[in-house]
Amino acid sequence: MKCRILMLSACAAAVLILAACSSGPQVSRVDAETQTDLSGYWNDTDLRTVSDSLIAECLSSPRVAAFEKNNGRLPVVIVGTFRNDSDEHIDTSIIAKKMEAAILNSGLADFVASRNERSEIREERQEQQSFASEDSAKALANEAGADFILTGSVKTIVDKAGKTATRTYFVYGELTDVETNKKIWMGENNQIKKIIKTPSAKF
Amino acid sequence: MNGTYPLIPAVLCAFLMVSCASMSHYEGIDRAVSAGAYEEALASIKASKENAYPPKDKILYYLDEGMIAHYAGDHDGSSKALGEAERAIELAVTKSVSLEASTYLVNDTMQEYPGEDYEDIYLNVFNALNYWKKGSTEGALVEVRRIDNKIKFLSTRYGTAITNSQKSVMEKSSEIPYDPEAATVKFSNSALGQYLGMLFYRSEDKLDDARINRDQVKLAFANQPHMYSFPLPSSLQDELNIPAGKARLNVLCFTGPGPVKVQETIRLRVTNSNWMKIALPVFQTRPSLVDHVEVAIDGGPSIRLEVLEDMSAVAAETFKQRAALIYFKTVMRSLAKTTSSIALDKASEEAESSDAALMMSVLSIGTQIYAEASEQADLRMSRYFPAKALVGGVTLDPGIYSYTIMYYGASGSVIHQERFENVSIRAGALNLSEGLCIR
Repeated sequence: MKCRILMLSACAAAVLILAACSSGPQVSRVDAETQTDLSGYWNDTDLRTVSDSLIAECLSSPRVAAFEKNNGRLPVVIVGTFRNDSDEHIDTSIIAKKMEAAILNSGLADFVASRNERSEIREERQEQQSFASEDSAKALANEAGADFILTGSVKTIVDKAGKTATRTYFVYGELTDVETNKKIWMGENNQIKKIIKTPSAKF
Repeated sequence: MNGTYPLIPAVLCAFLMVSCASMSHYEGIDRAVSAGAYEEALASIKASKENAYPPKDKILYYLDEGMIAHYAGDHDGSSKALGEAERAIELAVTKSVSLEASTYLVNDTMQEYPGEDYEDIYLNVFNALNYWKKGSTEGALVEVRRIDNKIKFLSTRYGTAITNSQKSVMEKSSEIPYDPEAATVKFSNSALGQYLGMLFYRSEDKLDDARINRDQVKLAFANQPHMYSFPLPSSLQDELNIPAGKARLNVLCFTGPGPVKVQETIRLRVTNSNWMKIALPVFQTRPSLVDHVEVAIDGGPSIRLEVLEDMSAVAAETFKQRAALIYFKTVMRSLAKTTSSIALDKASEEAESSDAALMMSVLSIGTQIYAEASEQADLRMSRYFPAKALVGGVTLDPGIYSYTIMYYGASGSVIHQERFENVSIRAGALNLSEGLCIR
């Protein structure tokens, strides 16, 4: 009897061990909108929430809309820096890119290449002067100047006691008139507040 | 039933085998670090990962790798390893119940190494330098903010746990020595972290933030005289008073090997034939050959660097709170082991047959031998943080400069020097040179 129990226990243990072993990582596809909070740090859900709200605010700004009426053309915007003033290593360029895409696709503004993108384009144009046919080579010194610069920042406030922490994100976006330095739109999102409870024990 | 007795020593032996940690791999790495052969040390540590660092010591591995990679100039590798260490420290707050249970049977080395508080803070200091060297002042400032948050949290971390543990130990015996001061941590600010914040904010032209950090350096010295028992660096006053058109050269040097933990053993006699062994980890500073550091600028002034932070002292201070908890737990465990031995002795005295009495006596001796062998202090800690941080600064005309950082021994002779050739010192920029002499 004792022997049979031992045998059964050994078999059960072997099955458990085999079940725990797998040949590779398990991958499952989920909808991109699915909320996935694993560590409590900045993630794609936060990015989506923040970008959607800032884009909506920016597109509905009366001053941005008035530019076309007053000047007879769409405003030209350049993407500046989205500073990371938080306590996490956040790739803020994704926020800026998302805003750029949304504003451009809304038809409310034109965008010119940012500082980082410009040098590559200028190099290409310069090379065209030597290597492209005369009628297809693009002219130098014919760039469109930006009317507004889009900048922003991400800040965090962290509070922690025991095994519970709260993280609040403050994300700002601004459009500034390049000529006058006047701010024509400013948006803030502080909707993201997380309470992170770290469990005391695991098996 | 009798068949189960041989199993007991076998299980105990297995536990003891698992709890034994070898430190022999450190010898070669220590030698390479001391000689300044950081790339060799990095290769050695990577080679010893599989054998010398079991999965429960992964924090230890990442800290050691991250620090040596920083010294070797592999800032990407260092940043990655220190980031891994930081994440693992966060996760180590969740204790494994099964491993924790074994720490009550054997010793604290059975549990995953959770990282010391000072390690958690200083990894951000070196990661800030990594990011800065990779050209990301923004990334460096992220690390500075993380230091701030951790220091704020430190004072609230252990309060209740210590009070509860203290109460339970005192209820067991009033003979057990306890130092109530040991549980009081007086570290609330890091001058080194604040100093780096000042430099990085200044380079971003955020002078108000830089001023706040500079004032925090002064407060760290004023409020923690037991850890900052040396004068405030005189160069600090000039850091935010750089005349227009001038440039500032800052030098930050790390010297000496950081502290290690050694075992301190206390033995208390409980009965005539039973004793209690308490093995505790205590910090021991390692001597440094470096007495002072000077920077000689070719054709220009020489500056003597001043101590900004005694990192060993901060390490010892922040360890106090955890040490208090370790002490309580060690006492409880040792008491349990001794009590079982006493119970077996008593059973032996009261046994009706001589065979049973003999068996109980043998088991009692076995329990005492097990207690003696298993009660080992957990001496794990990262080994390659430096002992001291020294700083200096000089205002110059912008231009190209060559200079030498010289490390002097107590006899006044130069024991190590680092040469910086044709460095562009620019106005309005952070011109920071980092020096190392981990000897």
